[in-house]
Amino acid sequence: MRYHIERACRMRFSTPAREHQVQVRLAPWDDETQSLMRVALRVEPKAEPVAGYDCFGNLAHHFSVLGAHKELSFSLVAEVETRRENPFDFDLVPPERERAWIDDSLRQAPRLWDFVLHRSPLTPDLPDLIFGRATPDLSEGVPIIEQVQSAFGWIREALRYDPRLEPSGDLSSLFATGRGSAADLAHLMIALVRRWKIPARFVSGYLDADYLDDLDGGDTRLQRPHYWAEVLIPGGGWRGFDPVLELAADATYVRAAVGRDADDIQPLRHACLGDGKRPEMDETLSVSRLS
Amino acid sequence: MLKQFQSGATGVLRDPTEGSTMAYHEFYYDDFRPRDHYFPMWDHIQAVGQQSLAAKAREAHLALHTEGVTFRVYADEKEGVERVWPFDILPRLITAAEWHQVEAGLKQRVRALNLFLKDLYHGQRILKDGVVPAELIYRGKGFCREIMDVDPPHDIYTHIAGVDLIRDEDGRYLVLEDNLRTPSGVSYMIENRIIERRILPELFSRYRVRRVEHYPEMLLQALRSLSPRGEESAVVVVLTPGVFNSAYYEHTFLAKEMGVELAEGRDLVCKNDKVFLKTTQGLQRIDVVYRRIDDAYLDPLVFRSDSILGVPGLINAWRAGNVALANAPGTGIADDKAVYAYVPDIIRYYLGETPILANVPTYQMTDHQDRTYVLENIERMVIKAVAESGGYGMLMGPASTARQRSDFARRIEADPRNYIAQPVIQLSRHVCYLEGELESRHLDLRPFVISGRESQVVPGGLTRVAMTKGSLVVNSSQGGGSKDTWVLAE
Repeated sequence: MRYHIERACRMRFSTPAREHQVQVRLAPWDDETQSLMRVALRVEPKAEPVAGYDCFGNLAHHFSVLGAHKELSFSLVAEVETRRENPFDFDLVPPERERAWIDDSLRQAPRLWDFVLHRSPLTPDLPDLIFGRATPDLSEGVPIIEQVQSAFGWIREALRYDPRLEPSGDLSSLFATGRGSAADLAHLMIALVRRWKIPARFVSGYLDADYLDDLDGGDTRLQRPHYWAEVLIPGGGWRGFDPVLELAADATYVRAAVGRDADDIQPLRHACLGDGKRPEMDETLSVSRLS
Repeated sequence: MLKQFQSGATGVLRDPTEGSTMAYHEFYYDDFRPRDHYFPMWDHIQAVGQQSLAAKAREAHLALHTEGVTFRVYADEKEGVERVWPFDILPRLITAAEWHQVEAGLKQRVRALNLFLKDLYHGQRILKDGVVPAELIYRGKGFCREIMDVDPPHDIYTHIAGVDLIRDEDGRYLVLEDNLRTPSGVSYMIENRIIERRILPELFSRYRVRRVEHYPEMLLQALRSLSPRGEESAVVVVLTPGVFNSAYYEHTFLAKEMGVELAEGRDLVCKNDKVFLKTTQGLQRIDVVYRRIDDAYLDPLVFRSDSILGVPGLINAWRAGNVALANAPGTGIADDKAVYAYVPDIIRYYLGETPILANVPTYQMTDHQDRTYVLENIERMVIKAVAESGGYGMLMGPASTARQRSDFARRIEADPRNYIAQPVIQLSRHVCYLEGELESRHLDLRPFVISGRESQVVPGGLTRVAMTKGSLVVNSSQGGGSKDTWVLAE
């Protein structure tokens, strides 16, 4: 599938900002599952954005605006072609060999340890019980992919998706309310899978708008970024799982950035001089399917 | 499992107090005769007498006070106290033969650690081969994944290393810690020499002492060799966190001695992946930043976003190869105290050589057997937090209270990766002139290794002295003192 993505942001400061350094992670990935056909970042006031890859392989752009300005805006336009029509298009490793497959992957690619060991307020060690329900352990003899999919139900019971919520900075604090954003549900899935000592990572990206319309009542074309988890599945490599829609990610999911958790891949980081308080932010997103 | 340094030997538990009752004395033989190289000093002390030494000690203190050679000691979390640099007038001597071995050992060690850092932040061959556990690295606070795949000039990460050496009961030099981030103390090494030459010229003339005063030249030359625009046009700055930093004196000293600007983060600005100094004549391009700011505060765009000490955009400029950073970010993983235990293996792995300088045996708290042993013998151990330095986060078992021990035991159980333990080593002793008496005190040595296009060790170092009788804590930040260190020419 081919998508056209436009993402824009406008920052307005109460008093002029100076020496503004900006880094954004908005561009879709370019790998075997999706091809980045075109990408451009426009900045106002004029700047010279530089593109580069971060330590997780995400394409980031950075630029500087040194002169005084009360407003700064940027927009990213990209076209991407996604190819994973069938998220189950791989040969399963027999359950009894899955652990060895994971261990071997960690040996060959030590960078994967980041996605097993990382703990943070967003992806904490989970308690044995949440809301009186036992946190699932990994069962022997059952394919890992099945157990990840079975976890959808447990996540739904622990955290109900609420599209009005902003992502939380502390996953554990949500267990009392039982509600969370897409990012929170993704973090819960990651924390669970890491408890099983299996690599799991956080994904930000874009979703075919029709899905979100369905979720949010279908009354608007207002779009926003989406978040899900990826799990290293024996035989299949990184595979996406969306606990909001309870789906394995297919070609309707466009990946923008991956990290240990959402803090690693903040879409915007910036620093500037000036007396202004935090800027007012306007953000827009448009994802449209071209074919 | 206990990591032991001796060539090839790992994993042998032994009684940590074995042979530790008698500290090596630098000055005396066991029968209290001065060692041969100390005899001229002994002769001098006897000749000048008590009153003269007292006058010299007062003169030294006054000179340090007048010249503002100070150090900030943090008595609690918030307030620092500025103290005159504590200095003992009697120098420590190192023979040419001893130094030859120390120098070779330091160069070997730092070369291997730079290769290790290059590998960790690129192909990670040593982890794939299982020589160092990947889990240990990825649990380490000093591991800086943000700099993966960046190529620093000459593939050097730690341009300035301050390696803490001690001597065991047999007088053998051991490495206690590798300080590879922003080690301090070198300005005091030079100040000690300047003072010593002034107050004890007669004694100085009786020895052929190798120079240390050229350290700033050596450092500047090494820093310039990192410049992306070539050595000739290299513009270097020292980046300091500011006046409240405990080593601010040193930052000003080095900038002055090298003849380069001392800058705070707000004095620098990045534009299109280049770093500039704001001057009254406009922006001046910077090629090399000798930074004395910790990684976490270096660039709010990449590390802690609340840092106001750093320079936004600095890491992108470094990544683009438009500026050199000394030391490079990410060196903290190689002086992590749990990784330290693997340094002998690291030397063998990259260099195929036997380590010249040995480690102190180290117990890993992530190892169940080691942890059990240490917790049962905690009063005989030194416990250290792996990512701390300056004597912070440390328990000195024999001098600890029951409450401190139980507190550390709890901390170890809660986060074993964050701690290691070592048997108490009786640091070597040396004669000091303290309040009118000749007293013996424990000491260590921090020599400095500079790595630019080539690796050099300044012949000397900072000798730190535990000023309290019997104490083994020499850290300046914990109230330790110092001596001039004389490396003798052949």
